[in-house]
Amino acid sequence: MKDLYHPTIIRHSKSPSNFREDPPDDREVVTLEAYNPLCGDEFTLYLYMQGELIEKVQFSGYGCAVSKAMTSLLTERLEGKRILESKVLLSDLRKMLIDNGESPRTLLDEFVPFMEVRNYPERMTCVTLSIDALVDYFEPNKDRL
Amino acid sequence: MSVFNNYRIQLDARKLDGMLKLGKHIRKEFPIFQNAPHVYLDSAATSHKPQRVIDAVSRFYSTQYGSIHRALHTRSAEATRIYEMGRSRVEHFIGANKPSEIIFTGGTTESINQVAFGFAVPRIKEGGNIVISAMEHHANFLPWQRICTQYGLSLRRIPLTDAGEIDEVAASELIDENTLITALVQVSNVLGTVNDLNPIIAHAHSLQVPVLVDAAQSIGHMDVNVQALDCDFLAFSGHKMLGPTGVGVLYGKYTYLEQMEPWRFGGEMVLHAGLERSKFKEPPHRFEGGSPHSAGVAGLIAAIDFLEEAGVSNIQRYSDQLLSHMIDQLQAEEDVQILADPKQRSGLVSFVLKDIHPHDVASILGETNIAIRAGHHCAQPLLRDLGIPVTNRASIHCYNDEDDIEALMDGIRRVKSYFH
Repeated sequence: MKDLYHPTIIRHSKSPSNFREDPPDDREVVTLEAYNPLCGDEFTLYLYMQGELIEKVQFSGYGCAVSKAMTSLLTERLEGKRILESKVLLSDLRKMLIDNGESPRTLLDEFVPFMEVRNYPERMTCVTLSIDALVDYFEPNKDRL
Repeated sequence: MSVFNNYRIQLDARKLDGMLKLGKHIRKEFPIFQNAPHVYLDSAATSHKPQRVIDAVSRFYSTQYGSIHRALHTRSAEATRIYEMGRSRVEHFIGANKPSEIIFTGGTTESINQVAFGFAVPRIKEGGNIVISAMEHHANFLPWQRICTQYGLSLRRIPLTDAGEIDEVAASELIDENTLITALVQVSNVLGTVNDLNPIIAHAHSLQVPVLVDAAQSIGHMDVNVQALDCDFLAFSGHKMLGPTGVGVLYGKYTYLEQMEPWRFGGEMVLHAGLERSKFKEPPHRFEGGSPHSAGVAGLIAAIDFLEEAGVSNIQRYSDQLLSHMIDQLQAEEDVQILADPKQRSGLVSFVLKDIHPHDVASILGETNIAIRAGHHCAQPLLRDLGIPVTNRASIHCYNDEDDIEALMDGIRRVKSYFH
């Protein structure tokens, strides 16, 4: 279990990046809900878009250490990315975490600690919660398995 | 049962002080603790089974099995005898008036649905309401919500006091002459509160309002007596009272059972099936459509044997002391917040650790085989009221002891060391 609660995950859960208590006033911001009815975890992701470019991502809400750390890292990683790059990143992340295929296209080193969740299948939704909310937004027609 | 009988003598002798290790001996009767050693603090979700319950189910299938109430051969007669004996055992266990007031169901959920759709729906009048409390399990919330939305009734939730008990004053205002039925929980599966339902039931009865009591969390933990409660319906499950899964009970006062309509139609519940219309059997059989879980009833009998031999009041006394001990330990621990402070609590406590999500707590405890629950405990409306999405819950039964509490506290300290 110590392996799942890797220092990276603990660090990001205790002081997450791009976390805010309240929603932003900015009406232009894209708001995504990431809700897990099984455990009550609920994050709201705020995407500041400039055309195809994600200028900044923030989030608010409540969740366990794993889901919060994952969301925190995602906000860092997506900042400054184009939508196409983000799609590739998210897809590679899902492959790495769920299908156990190391990504050939993107460097995902900082997400490696989350691979431990493969040993705790009941915690998998903690890892995929925000990833799936983003995938649903970027690729609304994609059938996720 | 000799082990338990020995301890029963000690329990009866009121030598309970300093006996918080009793569970260690009782545990020997529960094979899962030998086969898969763990610290089990999740009995409020489901209890473990003593060997005699497992044996009774196995014996039923190996030597006594046949279809009940149907065939004329000896296997059927033997199986029917055991099934009907189960009815009498439950009758005595909860103090009903006669065996025909006992209906076997799949569990509490099915019992409540039977009352909701077989009893409440046919009695619906315009402008009516249904009264429940703010601490109901989804099993005693969703059926009523469904009826209210479907038929345009209002669903009234009795609020809780700050201590986490059903607010009696509010109850007397909310239950009125337009109330179709009141459905209340005896022990909260989230807060552990033991509700004093008698005054509320008396008020309801003064207005001719029938009352259903959800006893899923109280049965086996305290003496549950339908005469003392004076409830009109009582629902509970076998699996939380050391019995098998998939079998439960609905008790109803016979006069109400006569008015209740079947909800599951099919085999065995009918007297005469005509092409135009059919005539159904008398209660309780008209409510037991299909082949029932007869082996579950055989196991339930063994669970009642166990509880009666140990003495439910003895279990309650032991468990109350152990629970107080657990609450003392949790309260003494920094950063632990306990939910609710009722006058009487039974078998469980909900708590949260400051800045640590309950799922992280339960996951880390699970790593060292300590089983506690994290979640909304099928009571989302209550947690929404409390402003807490999820909690940790530690719950006990007769097989727990102070070593389990020590393991829990060590575990909590380990969790804190991860995050602090």
